[in-house]
Amino acid sequence: MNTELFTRNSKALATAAALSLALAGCASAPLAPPGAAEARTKLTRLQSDPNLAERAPAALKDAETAVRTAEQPLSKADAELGAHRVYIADRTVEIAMARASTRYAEDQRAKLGDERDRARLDARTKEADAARSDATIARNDADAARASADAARDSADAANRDADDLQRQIDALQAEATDRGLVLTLGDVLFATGKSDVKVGATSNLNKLVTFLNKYPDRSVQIEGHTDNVGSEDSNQGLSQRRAESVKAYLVQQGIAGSRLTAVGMGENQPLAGNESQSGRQQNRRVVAVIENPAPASASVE
Amino acid sequence: MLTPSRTHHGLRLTGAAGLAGVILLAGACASPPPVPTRSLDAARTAVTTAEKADAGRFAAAELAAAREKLAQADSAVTGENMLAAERLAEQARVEAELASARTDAAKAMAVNADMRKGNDVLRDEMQRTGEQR
Repeated sequence: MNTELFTRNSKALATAAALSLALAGCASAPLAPPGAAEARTKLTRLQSDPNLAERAPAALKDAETAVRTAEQPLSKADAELGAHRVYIADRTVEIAMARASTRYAEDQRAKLGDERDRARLDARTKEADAARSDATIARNDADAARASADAARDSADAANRDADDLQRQIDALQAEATDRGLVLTLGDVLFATGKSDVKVGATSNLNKLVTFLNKYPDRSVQIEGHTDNVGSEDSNQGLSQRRAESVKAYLVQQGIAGSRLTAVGMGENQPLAGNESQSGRQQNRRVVAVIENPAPASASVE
Repeated sequence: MLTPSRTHHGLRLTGAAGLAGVILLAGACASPPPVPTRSLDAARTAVTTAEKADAGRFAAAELAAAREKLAQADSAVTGENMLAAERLAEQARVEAELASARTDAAKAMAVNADMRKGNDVLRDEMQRTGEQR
């Protein structure tokens, strides 16, 4: 209705202007008032803005009308009217711009709402996926824990079996567990006095040792020869060495790798008993096999 | 005030025909232009609407300009400059309408900015959740 008012007014004014032009023919040619061109430029910019042009048709129509009114040529005498029209036109264009911006923001809002819904949906999907994968991970963890418990039990069982086995073997050897390893004392029954070769038929103790070494191939053995004090110390040293070598040779003959075996002559200096009696000397004449404990690195099962 | 006494005078001196002529004459020459009531009312309504829309917060300059123009229009009425009063009332109205329009736009954009921020937060949160996995 304001527009109508404007239109009516402007028509009347235009008529009046034309009339005054006709009456006062000598006056300078009337021009569009200053500022009208700027209002037109502003309106044109709004009309060509792809985001705004279509969004406030009524307000834009009002703006177009106001600008057209402002553009009407007026004589200098009507400068105030011109300024008024330009003011109205400028404000009307600004109103159209604001209305279109509002509408644009409202249209964007629908998009933002969709975006938000999508984001929420994504978040929920992700949450569900995460929960699902958490459950899977938990299940896998539980499975793994169970499996490793089983494995631990198995290996503990195996270790127990192994330990039991070892104990049986040690018992069979009648060996003594010491810090150096298993100490197996082979009595002098292996050798005739002054002889170093192993007596035939006296090998049952040695064969138990072979069995043991075959079962535990990671263990090596130090074979120590000892004598009584009969004879010179030098000859006893040599004899003890030869007896130790002799036992080593027998073991190698039975298939034990020589690299696992060390033969050492200890001579007469480590007696177990006094050399005064026959029985004491007999105890002192001996070969001792020290079965070393396996190296810690290879001891996978404690 | 003037017209009835003249009328009374005219009635006594010249009768009905004379009366009509005098009224016509008085109307054409002596009566001032009417107060632009419609324009002033429209301006006042527009200012009130803008105030109610909280233009004081979102378009304070425009609202202040509208009030100023309206005050000037009222002054012009007092000064019996009705042409100026009408123009100022018109200007006050468009200024107040602009204040309302810009307030609406500012509110709409604020809502969108909030939504955008909310969406960003949501997306960020998702990103973080994704990275934690």
